[in-house]
Amino acid sequence: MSIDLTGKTALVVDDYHSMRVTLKEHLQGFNIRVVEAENGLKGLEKIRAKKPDMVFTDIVMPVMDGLELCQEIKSDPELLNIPVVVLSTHADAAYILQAIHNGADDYLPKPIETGLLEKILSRITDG
Amino acid sequence: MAEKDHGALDRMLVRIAHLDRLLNLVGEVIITSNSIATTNRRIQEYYDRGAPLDKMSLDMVKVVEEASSRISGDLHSLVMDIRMVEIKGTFQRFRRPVRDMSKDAGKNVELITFGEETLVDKTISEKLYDPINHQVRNSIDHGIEDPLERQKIGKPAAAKLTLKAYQRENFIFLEINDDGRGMDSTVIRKTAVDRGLISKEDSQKLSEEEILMFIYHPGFSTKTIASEISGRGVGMDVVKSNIEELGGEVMISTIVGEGTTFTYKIPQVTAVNILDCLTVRAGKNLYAIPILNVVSTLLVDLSKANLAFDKAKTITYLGSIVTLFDLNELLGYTPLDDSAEITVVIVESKNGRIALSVSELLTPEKLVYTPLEKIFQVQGISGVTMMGGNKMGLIIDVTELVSRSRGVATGEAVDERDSLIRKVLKSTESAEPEAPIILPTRDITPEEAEQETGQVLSSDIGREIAHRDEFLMELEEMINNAGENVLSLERNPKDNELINKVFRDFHSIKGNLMMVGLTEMGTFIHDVESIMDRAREGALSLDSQIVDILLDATDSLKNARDSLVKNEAPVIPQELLQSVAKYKKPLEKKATEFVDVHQRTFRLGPLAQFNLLARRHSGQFVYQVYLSFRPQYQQPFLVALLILRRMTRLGHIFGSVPSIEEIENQNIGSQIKVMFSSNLDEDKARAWIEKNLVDSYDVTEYEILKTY
Repeated sequence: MSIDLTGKTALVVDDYHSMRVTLKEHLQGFNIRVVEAENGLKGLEKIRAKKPDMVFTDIVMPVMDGLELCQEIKSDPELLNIPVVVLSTHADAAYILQAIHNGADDYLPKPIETGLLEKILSRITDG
Repeated sequence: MAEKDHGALDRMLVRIAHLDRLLNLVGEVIITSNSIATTNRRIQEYYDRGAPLDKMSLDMVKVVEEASSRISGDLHSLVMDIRMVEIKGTFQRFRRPVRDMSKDAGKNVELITFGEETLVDKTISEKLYDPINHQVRNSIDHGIEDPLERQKIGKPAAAKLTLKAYQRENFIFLEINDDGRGMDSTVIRKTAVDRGLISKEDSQKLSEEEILMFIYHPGFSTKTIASEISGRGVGMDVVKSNIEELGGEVMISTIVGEGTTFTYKIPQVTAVNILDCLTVRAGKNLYAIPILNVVSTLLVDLSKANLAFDKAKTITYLGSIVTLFDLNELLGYTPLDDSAEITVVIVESKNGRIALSVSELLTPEKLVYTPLEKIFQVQGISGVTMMGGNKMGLIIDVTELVSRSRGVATGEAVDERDSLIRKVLKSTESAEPEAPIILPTRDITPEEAEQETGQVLSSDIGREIAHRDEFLMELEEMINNAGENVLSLERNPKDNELINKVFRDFHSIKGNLMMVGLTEMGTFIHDVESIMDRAREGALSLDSQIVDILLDATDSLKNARDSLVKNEAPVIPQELLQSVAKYKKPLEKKATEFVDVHQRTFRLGPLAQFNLLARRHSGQFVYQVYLSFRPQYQQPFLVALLILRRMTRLGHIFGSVPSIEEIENQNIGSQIKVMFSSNLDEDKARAWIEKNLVDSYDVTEYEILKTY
């Protein structure tokens, strides 16, 4: 059974539109409303403005990357409770580890597996 | 590859701002259409009542008319804007070929570009590739001298090949310039005569520039002759016909010993079938003449028109003589009745200027036209259009009309020289098609063509990808950027900023490939990325061999992308796979030694021991939990870290087996032991684990033991 997250908002941060849309459609499958940003800095602005319930971010991006974004969110008392999920590939364990050190709450490997996404959503949304 | 761009998608990226503007305009269309309905109802009421229209109704009509005219104008210019792309993309595609061709030819050629930000219609930008490609190859093969030869005549050994784009009024200009040996018109003249393309006598009548145009004649260039005249002309007829297809023209200027410049002049408005036209009436016929071709309109007292030669009339306009034609007659319809004063439109195209007599000038309009089917084609008419008031009109093709007028005018005396050139250059169709000349390209060397041992990769873009075309377009952009940066890297191999950039380029390409399920390609690019990672760490210096591998990798990515566009399986050449394997980062030593959870007890440091005591005294329970987990899609060591992080919500963690350091070093299988304290009693702690860990983190087994 699929979880229903109607009323929740996610921010998706990636510098490529096709990637954002791909993730967005996955999230919409759980009735999550999606806001998009094309780099960490714009993401941070949107987080402050819209207070999303969760953030999904790519790691390597121009201007501000996903690692810095994690750090910014987790060092801001107003934002640190917002769960951050980084997207990466398996080959990038070092990056993922770095992200987790920077406070990331979970990581979503590419390509996206719906079953795993559902697990991650359940991890970050309850309690 | 040289002739057709197989990878072209008939899609393009559109800026959000443009879509927003479009949306706004759609809003206005809706509003306007509503007011038309209201106005219509009002007028209908007045009509039904037999009452004369009031001022208000008339004002409403006027407002609607103004709005719709403004909206259609805005829509047109918006569509044109949306179709615009920077010429940069086209220019970028020559960096690699220029580098490789000049290497192959043993020449040192620097490609310089100007005006990359010039905006051109998307279609034009694509159609420019082939002509530029031909001329660039010709310049490198023949126009530019060997470094030794250059030195001998006092030129710098490094030659310059310049691509320059700019816009002047409604035209895009594109210049391809080399500082090579230039072209000698006397040699070209002689060759043209020898080839029987023109008589010796006639050839004397042509100007130098006209003689140069012979290089575009399809019968002109053969290999033997090509070498005699420094090879100019190889496939050049293609260039000319491509540019003419765009409604443009080619100009050549050359100085022997100093170089050659080819200039393309292309009208900016070609792709969209909307034309700004002057509409005219001639007798019963309505015509639309493209504004671009209209020089002037005037009233002429026919008694002042001159009779020249046999029948042709001429008028004087700004001191020059222009031949006058009756538009209807010129197109084979009934001529206008004679009258003392006539209305004249002077039109001009690249092949000349003529005056047309018509009955009446109507308003300039923006017209949507439909090109005529081939079988209905009339020389001088390019299409039909609906004009205001729902009347059918014919769109004049001024170039053809001027040509047509030449046949009507009394003999060739009108412009003998011009028709001579036209005869020579008439059209490429009439000549024997030339055998295609295979130019050396990096893309398909014979070895690569018969490369059968390459690795065939999956082309299965997973069902996951929502916007396949967009993905492919973004991929192309990424690959181009990577290629461009790698080329810069060759010139600045020690630039750390640049090394990082290239690393990130490949990293992002890999990520996006993985994201859509192209994991095999993604894995290959990961290896390429790891070469950059080593360079970043200073473990590898970026010599030309490595740069070649990186460039080949970008090329193979391009080919792979093209295959994906065509739904074919991408192939990575075996040779490239081997080179990449040779330089990629060796796999980090795998954490084969997993800590055996059952064999080891907790090692608590002094601080942890103190904490343990403190929490026991404050009445908390202390537990040891053993967890076995089998994550399907995430690496176990990362899942272990996530579990530990999650458990901090249950209580305080004193330590784990394996330790955090060991976990981060990946010395972990799929089991972990954790010692923690909690306020929850054993049942509640068990329930917490059941609820929070079992499903979410793929915990398959667990045991909990209350220590204190």
